[in-house]
Amino acid sequence: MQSTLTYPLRGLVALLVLCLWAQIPASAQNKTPKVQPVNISLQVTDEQGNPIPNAAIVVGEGNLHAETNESGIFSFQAMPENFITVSSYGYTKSVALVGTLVNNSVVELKKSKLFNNTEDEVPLPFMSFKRRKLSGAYSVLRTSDLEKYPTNDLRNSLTGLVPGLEVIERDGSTGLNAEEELGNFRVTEKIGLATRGRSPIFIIDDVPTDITEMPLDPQEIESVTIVKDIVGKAMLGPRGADGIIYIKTKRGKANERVLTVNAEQGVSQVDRFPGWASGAEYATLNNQARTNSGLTPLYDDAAISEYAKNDPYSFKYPSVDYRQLMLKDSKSFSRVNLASTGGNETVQYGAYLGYNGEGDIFKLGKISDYNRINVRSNIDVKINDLIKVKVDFFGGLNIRRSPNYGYNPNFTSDDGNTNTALDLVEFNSAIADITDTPPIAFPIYAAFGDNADAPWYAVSPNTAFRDNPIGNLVHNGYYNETGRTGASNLTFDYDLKEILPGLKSKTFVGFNIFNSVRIGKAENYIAYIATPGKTASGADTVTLSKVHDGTDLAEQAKLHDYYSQRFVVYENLSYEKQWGNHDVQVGATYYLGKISKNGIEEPQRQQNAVMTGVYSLKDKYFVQGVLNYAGTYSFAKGKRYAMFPAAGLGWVISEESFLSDVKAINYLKLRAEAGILGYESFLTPFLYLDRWGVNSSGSAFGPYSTNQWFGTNTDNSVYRTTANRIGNPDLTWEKRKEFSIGLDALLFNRKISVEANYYNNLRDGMVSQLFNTVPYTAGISNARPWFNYNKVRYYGLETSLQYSDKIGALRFSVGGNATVQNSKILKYDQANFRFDYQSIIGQPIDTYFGQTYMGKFASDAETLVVPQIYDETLQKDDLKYEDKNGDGVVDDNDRSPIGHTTPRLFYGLNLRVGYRNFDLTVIGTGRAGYDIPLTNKYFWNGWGDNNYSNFTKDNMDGESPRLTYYKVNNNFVASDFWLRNGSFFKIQNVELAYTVPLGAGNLMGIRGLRIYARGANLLTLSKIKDVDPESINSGVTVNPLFRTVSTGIKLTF
Amino acid sequence: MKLKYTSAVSTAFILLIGTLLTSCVDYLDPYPNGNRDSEDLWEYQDMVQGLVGQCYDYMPRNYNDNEGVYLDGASDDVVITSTTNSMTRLAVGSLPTSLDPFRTYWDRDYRAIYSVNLFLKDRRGYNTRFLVDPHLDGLVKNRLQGEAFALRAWFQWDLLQKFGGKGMNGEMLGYPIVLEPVDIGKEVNFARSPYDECVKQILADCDSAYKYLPIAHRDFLVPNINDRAYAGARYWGRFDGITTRAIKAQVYLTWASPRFNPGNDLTRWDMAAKYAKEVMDFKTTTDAVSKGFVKTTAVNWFDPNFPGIIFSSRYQNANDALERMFYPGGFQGNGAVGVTQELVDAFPMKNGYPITDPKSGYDPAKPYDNRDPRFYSTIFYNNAKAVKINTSNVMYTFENWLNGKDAAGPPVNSRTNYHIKKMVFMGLNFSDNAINRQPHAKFFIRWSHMVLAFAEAANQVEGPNGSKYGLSAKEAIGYLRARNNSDGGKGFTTDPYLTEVANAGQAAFTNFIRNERRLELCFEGQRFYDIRRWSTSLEPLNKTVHMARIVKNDDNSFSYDLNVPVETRSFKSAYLPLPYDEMLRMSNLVQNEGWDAWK
Repeated sequence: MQSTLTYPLRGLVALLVLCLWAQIPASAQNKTPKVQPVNISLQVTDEQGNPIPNAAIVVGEGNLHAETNESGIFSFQAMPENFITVSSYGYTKSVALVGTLVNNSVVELKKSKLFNNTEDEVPLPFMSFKRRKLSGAYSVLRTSDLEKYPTNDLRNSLTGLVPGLEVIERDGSTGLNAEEELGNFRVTEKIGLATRGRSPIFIIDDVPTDITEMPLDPQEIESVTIVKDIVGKAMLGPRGADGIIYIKTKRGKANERVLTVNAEQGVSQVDRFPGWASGAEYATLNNQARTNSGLTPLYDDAAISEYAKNDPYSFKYPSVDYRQLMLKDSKSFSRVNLASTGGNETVQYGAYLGYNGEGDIFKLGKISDYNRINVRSNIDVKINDLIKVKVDFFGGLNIRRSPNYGYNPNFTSDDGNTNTALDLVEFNSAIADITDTPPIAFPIYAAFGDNADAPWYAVSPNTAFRDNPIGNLVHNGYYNETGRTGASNLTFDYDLKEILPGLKSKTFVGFNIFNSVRIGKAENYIAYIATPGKTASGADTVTLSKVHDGTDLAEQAKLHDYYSQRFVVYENLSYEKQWGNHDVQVGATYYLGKISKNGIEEPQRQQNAVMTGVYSLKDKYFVQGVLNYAGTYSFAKGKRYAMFPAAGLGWVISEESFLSDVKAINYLKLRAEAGILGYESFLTPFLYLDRWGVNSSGSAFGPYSTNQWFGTNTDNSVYRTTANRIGNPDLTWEKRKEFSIGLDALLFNRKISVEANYYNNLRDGMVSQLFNTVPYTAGISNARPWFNYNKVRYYGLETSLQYSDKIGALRFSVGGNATVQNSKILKYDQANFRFDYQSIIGQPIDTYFGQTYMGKFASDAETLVVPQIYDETLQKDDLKYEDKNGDGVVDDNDRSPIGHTTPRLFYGLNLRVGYRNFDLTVIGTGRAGYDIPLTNKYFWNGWGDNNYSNFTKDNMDGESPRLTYYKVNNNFVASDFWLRNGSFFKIQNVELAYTVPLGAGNLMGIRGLRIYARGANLLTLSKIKDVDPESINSGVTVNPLFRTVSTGIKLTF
Repeated sequence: MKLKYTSAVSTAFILLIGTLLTSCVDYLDPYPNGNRDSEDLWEYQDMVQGLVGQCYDYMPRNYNDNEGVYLDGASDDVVITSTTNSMTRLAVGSLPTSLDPFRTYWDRDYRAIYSVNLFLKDRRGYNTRFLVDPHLDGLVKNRLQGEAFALRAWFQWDLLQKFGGKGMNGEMLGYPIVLEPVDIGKEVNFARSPYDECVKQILADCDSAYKYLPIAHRDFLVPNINDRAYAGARYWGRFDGITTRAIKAQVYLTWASPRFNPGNDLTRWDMAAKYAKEVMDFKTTTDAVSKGFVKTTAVNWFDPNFPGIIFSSRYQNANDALERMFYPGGFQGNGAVGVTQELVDAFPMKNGYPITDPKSGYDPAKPYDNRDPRFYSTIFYNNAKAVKINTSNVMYTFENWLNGKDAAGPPVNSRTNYHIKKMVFMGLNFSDNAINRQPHAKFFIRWSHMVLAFAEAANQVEGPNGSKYGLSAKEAIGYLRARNNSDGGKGFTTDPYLTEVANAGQAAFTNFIRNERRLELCFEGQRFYDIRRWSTSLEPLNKTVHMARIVKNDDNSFSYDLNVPVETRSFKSAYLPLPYDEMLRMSNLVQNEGWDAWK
């Protein structure tokens, strides 16, 4: 399938790029261009004819960046067909063809208010507003911001760019999994996005769509608006309550025909991959642990030196380095795409074809990779002066190939009853086995035995190690998972000026459908316990004891499937009018959305009516408001609909007389918003109804088989009725009561821009199941009702500061953003408590409870002074905890808040430098002010027969408690002994690019050629060294994070 | 012209929007769905039946859980291999509230009680029409009504056995008695009822059940062949009349025991003996008539219809959970539990004499020679052989000597150098290509239970050789000693020790019965409660349990050290704790004594 599709395509695009590349030196030698460049001396003036110094000039879509001199003059040479863009803050941008300037070289710029131009339009749900008018904080990102990050997951490229948006990469797994959001089959969120404590939703072309189901490339995106404040969120309705990442895809623009070809190839290398003990080290550590627990050691020196030979095939002394045998350190990364937009006044088009490819790090087994093709096209047609029709299509195909790991649908677990569940992320099972299995547990395999054709794999007599990781990888079969996305939107714009000038209507219908099917084989291998021994004559022999048989399938089968379907229809009426100092822009929208998904019994439906508008007075005072009448299917009739108002104020204070003379302040706007918005996370349907389940499956009563001594008939219908839920008919919307205040400023000749936002959001009446108030004695612990109960406040400050300037030919911009955040629980369904420190009320939501570490016990006798009840006996060097309540014993009642697990501060730093044709972009991010509990397997191991991590090996009796064979529970409970400062700083993204000067035209008509080298996740500075502080489970229980470097070229035609 | 056209379209638009806005009201109504709320319940007879049927699902169906062999891990019979197991931690006195293994049973019991209370309230279940034919409908509704009472008795008895005890206020307390479905809108702060009241409620529910239930679910007790579609054998596994009598016997037995009977009220013993004898008589008359039940037949753990059963869980088909759990790693098991030296020492010799008796012929150098046949069918010891059933194939030889493959140490071997043989199927070998798995069930009440209960109670009332019940305690125990063993071994044909100890008087015979009960019921989750009800202090509970240390000599003989401590039991209370989170939810609850950190 993929070989017929992706590879030829990939090759074709690559070939095209190569051809173009080869043309360049050729055309440079060819000194007979058809069109001669022209010399132009340009003067830029305002409407009164006064020259404008320092106006920015861009020629040929970025071939040439320059500024006018003190007299507003700039001289240059360019091709007549090049575009020239002249802009200066406070003036309307001018775009012209160089050819038209030959005769009249004066460019007159119209004075405009700051942030009130067409390029200052902020795309928002259903309507766009000019930035100046808005009372909230919005960040708008474009292709050029997003394409620098070498990744095939758009979420990564948002890293560090937006104040208040935290991007957390949790694992580096290959490709994207559509079921991430649902969390089915142990799929976890690969990249987390958080703003103001919540995860924003993605809206792609007005349809709420999981980014994992429609993975976009940066080149197909026109704009990404990050909406955090209440008024902007309310414009969408309750679905936007957690924040919105509002994406518009690229459309054609009249008279701007652009074709870009972009080809990028790179490699991703494992960044931090926590290590585990080798065979000899394992034997030594195991001996030590057994000795410490009063057991006889198992391995003598001779055996250890045999293990040190690291022979994975030795029957007597096997020592296997699974990671080295099974996993590579790097995987490939590539993306190639072709984007074209253009059109005339009547018809505009956009077309996009993109390919993304990513390898995997399995060394063995069937091929493992991810390939994706995105095809997007849209056409806007003007039917007449009043009517415009927009048609969008999207087709996406992604193919994930991999060996199965450990999955066999025919395999039954130990008790002979249950099937092992499918694991959609096979690497997670693989890494679990690779790290658990002692390297000396068994030799990996032998290609002989009772069946010469089928190799068999060894497993351990110890039931904990009944899987041979290599056998699992090589002989559990494979799968091809094909995900298909189709989307189609239709927009019907209608100018109703015949009824009322300024009135417009927009009708939108959008669908998208995702489906993925995993086809492959789930097989199994022959496994034996191999015990080396001696025959009677003294020869070496191996006794085999079979654990399971192999399964070889003749045909492929469907292993898994998933679908989702989304549907949105809305009707928007908007009206604009200016008169005198007044300006009004209002809109009314009726919106209806429906989502059907695999595994969700009732389609999720919401509808709402939104009235929104801005009134501006003198372009200085602004009032913005939203009224939202929203309904959802989740609640009982009468509780479904609610009205939510929100409003904001903006004041451009810099235009007031008392500030207009302050030269340092070019622009200063104060703004504030407040409002209420409903929220419900598409709850399980019918929480308002009682719900009883009836079931008649299961074993029957009656005789085991016929003709028993007491009778014959079995009773096959054992009805079983269970209360699944006690309904709460009063359940209704959670109310978000939000307040924010902020400022935007341009200072010192517009060299410095500042943004600051303070927010204070209250989640009131969160829909919560009350676990802790209804006693078990009521008998409904499986059916506890849901109430609007919990109440949490989130608050914080988001800031950004940017300084841009130029020194000679050096253009630079340096700045950053920083967010300080916190939260407080006001009401919570918590267990009753005996001591005040046990309460979570008043604490942040990320509070971490545990014992307070007091140092290690100095002597065995000291352990008896205040007994710690986690073990029968403790010893010197075990962890000592504080008896918080002073009752003479340390137990769970002594747990108190000892830290918090999300950063109080996160920040991004950026540096952009341009020098002649070179430009460099560096983005760094950091987090500070939080604790990471080192409680995952890499830190908590060392007892029993599992392997030992490097952490345990290297930190014995220090950061890692004493090594014992029987687990000392006391040392492995949540306590601040295991908390570490989580602060870190990462260089997340670097791009170094060179724009090849194309002085003369060339055969291929290339207007721009940019060569770049990019890097992602290049450097990490942190106190935690062994694991990645961004995700301490990476490389331990999930995929490691990768450092990616790539090179590529971008051609613009 | 154009203007008219556009106006028309505009008008159409506004109409369209208007229509959408006004017609959208129903859009959010639920789609047709099968949701059944609390009132719908009564319109479906299968759901009404299900209120009773569900409760059987709450019962354990094997011995591999905290109500079975793991519970013995907190007694002196068993050592659990995992030191992190919550039962181990209970036993050694290091149980944090967060690992409470009993909370789930408190929860389960009340869920079952809620379910049957719904059925019983206002006789709503009884008044449901289950079948069209009035006679057959009567069979069904009487049975269900009886089962509902019996289930309520059963789960209340579970609550009482687990959580009943002396509260911190010094009173003997049971559990909060709940006889109506709880309305969570009202007060839900319950208090525990006095122990005696709980006992009386359980007995009353047993009596109510007895009135509605057939005496037993047997086809031969249903004379009309057409009635067998709704009565008789097909309800094997559900409560019947004789089972409620057996429950009463067990409740009285506990209530009569020293810990719960400070005044030594002999009528309690008498009632226990009376009801146990009633059940025994039922087995030896009614069930024996059909030639199903024979007193000397060995227990067959793999026959869910074993005639010695009085009440059993439903079976789990083709199951190897116990084999996995009991066998050591080398035999492809988990070695999850081990047998204590104390239990090994409790088995008498082949001649019936305990090993402490000079007449026994016990040789500490060869501790496993010439023991009671029951020993060989219960325990795998060093150098024991697992012989495949009906063959002479040795599947496995246990190597428990120091550095032997089954020796204590790895978490897949027992910590005591003994593994459990009782209840495993000797035809199962994990190395076979086709593994022969047999069904397993939990036999809640068997013939042996009733014999032991009777013997214990009768001995208290009238000594070993009385005649009040038509059967003496000595004769009852004789039934068990003479019975065959599940591995084919024969019981005692001559039993001089039984006569000897019976003649030694009531006190000696009490200890003898207690030891017999220990041997007969080991690994079934009984010992934990038995040692508590027999004692009035903590001293018998807090003993060190021991393992065997075995060294293989150069001449392939073995040296045994049978006095190696392996774990010390450390209970601060003879009672189990009420769930800590339930304590926090209901301020009226009083915690059992000794659980200060859980109050």
